[in-house]
Formats: sequence, structure tokens, C-alpha cells
Amino acid sequence: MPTTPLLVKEQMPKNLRFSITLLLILLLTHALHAARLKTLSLDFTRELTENDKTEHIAGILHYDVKKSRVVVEVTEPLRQIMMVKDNVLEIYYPVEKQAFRFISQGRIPLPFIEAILQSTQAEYGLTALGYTLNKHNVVEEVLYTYWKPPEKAKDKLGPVILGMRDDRLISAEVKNPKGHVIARSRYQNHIKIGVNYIPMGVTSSMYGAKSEVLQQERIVYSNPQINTESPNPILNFTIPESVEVKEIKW
Amino acid sequence: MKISSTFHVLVFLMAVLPFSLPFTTLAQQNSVEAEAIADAAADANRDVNKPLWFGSGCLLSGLAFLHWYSCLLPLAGLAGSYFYRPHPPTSRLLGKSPEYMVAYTSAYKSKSGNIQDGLRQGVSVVAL
Repeated sequence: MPTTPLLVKEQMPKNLRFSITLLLILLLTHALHAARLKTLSLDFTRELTENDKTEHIAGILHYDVKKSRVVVEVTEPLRQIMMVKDNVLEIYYPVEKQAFRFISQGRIPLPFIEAILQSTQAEYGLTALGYTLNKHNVVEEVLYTYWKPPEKAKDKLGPVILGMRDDRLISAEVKNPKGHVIARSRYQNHIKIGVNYIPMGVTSSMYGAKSEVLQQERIVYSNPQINTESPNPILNFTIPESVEVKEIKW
Repeated sequence: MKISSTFHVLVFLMAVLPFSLPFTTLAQQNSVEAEAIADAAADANRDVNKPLWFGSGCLLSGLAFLHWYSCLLPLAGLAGSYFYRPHPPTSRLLGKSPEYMVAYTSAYKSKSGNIQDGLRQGVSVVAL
């Protein structure tokens, strides 16, 4: 004879019902916490040192996931609005009333946001690029994974070493095919967005053939605004029609 | 009333000052352009992947090779811009003046084109 739901409820012990309710709450909380990233705004400062010169840039980064559109508002040292979508980069100077449009043959990587997007992908997008996990080890609670490049590109690309602690990417090292380190990045002050940890501080160094430092970059993000309810007008910004746009084919 | 020589010197300086301003502006503009050209040359040297272009020269189908290669581009965001990028360097143009941008893009295209031409010619000589 089939059992009715009422009968199941009556037969179910009280503590089991409580356990199921608790489990459901936990699942719901996790689902809410893991809400998909729709829009993201971050304040940023960038410090770039090259040839004994250091430049400081500050501004706000806006990202619309659905439209794959990034708008960077630079506030220091000058006012500049940079917009990237697919293979088009537009740069507008609101004070000078000048505008440029770059049309590239391929997709233009989104400034800044690429690192954030990467951190949301499995194995940080390395497997999608054809990289395969070669080996791993743990040193002082940091899991290091060694990734070898795809066979077709092994004479052009070198291995990548990722360092992870507590599910957070904390370091990346890129080598050239000869095994010399060409770049190192450190990721700090992670925040959790959805199910991913996003670094709020990224320090990168690029090295030359003799291991000399060519460039050092430090980016600090702050004031993250995630999935804001009111639409952000800057994400729909377009260059005013009165401004002549200089088009550059890249 | 006797006018002192200091007064004459000051008047002269005041008169000359407005004429010197355009030269100062020009000097500043030249320095921005010089910086942009130097940056562009250094970036083009660093960015152009020599083995890649050797490959494209051999295949005589550089574009197809580049398209395949472009799948590697997202990695640039993970740990910096380490690979050749056939796209405008957004990171370099961030926070730069319009004058810098014009000078940089022109110099970059010219320099990277020269390097690629040189490498392709090198391949052709090897093939012969």
C-alpha cells in the first residue's frame, strides 16, 4: 500500500524533520551566496614602475557580465573613459573632447577584469588554453600546481606555476620555453564573490632575458559593488555625437 | 624722475615671458611624444613573439596561425601581458594624454611592422 505524505510526516521523527529543515536552509544560503556575478564596480589604483619612473593612475572599473562590456573611468592623473567590447576599444577624453576608436582583428582582452574572470574559471582557464597539469606539491600549506603548455605551442610558451592556499590563488609564475621566469604575480586580500575568491591586490613583475626587472605593477582594488539593483549609467556610456572620433585600425 | 635699471630689467622680462610660453608648451609636448615613441619601441620589441612570426612566415598563413594563437590571450590577464598581443595595449594607454596616444600608436605600429617584416624576410632567406 502506498504511503501518503501526511503519513510520512506523522511517522518522521522530530529531529529528522529539524535536520532536513536545517539542510534546506543551508542549501538555500549557499545558493544565494553563490549568486552569479552580473555587474561589478571597483575603485582601483595602479602603480607602474618602469625605467626608474613610477606612474600612478586611479579610477573606477565597471563591468557588465551579460554584455561583456568593461568601462574604465580614469580620474587621475587626467580624466579618461575607456570602453572595451569584443574587438573595439574606445577612449574618450571628456575635458579635451577628443575620442579614439581602435578596431582590432581579434578580441581585445578586457583591462583589469581579465584576471578576475580568469579566477572564476576552472583551473584559472589554463585547461581551456590546452595546458595540462604536470605535477603538484605542497610547501608550507601552499599547493603549487605545475602546468605544461600544449604540445603544439611548447616551443613558444613555457610552463605556468600556480600557488594556492585555502582555495585562493596567491601566486602565478610564467616561464618561457627555456625555463626562465618571465613574469611573477602575487594576489592578496581576496574577497568572495559567488563561489570564487577575487584578489583585491595584484602585484606583478616582468623580467628580461637576464632576469632583470623590466616592469613592476601594483593594482589595489577597493569598494566592490556587486550586482547593484539600480542600473549603472556609465555602463551604457557612448561618446557624444558632437565629438569627432578618430578611428584607428589595429 | 629717474627710473632704475632694475625696473628696465623687470619690464624686459615681463615682455619676453609671454613669448617663451609657447616654447615651454612645445618642449613639454615634444617630451610626451619622445616618451611615447620610446615606450612604443620597447613594447613592440617585447611583444612581438619572434618564433610566432617565424612560424607564420613558414606557413604563409599568418592570420590563421594568429587566430589559433589568440586563444592564448586570456592568459595575459592572469599573470600580466606576457605574450604577443595583436590588439591595442589597453593597459599602456590607460591614464595617458591624447598626444601620447597618437604618438604611441603610430610608433608601435611602425616598429612592430618593421620587426615582423624583418623576421619574415629572414625566413624567406632561410627557405631559399
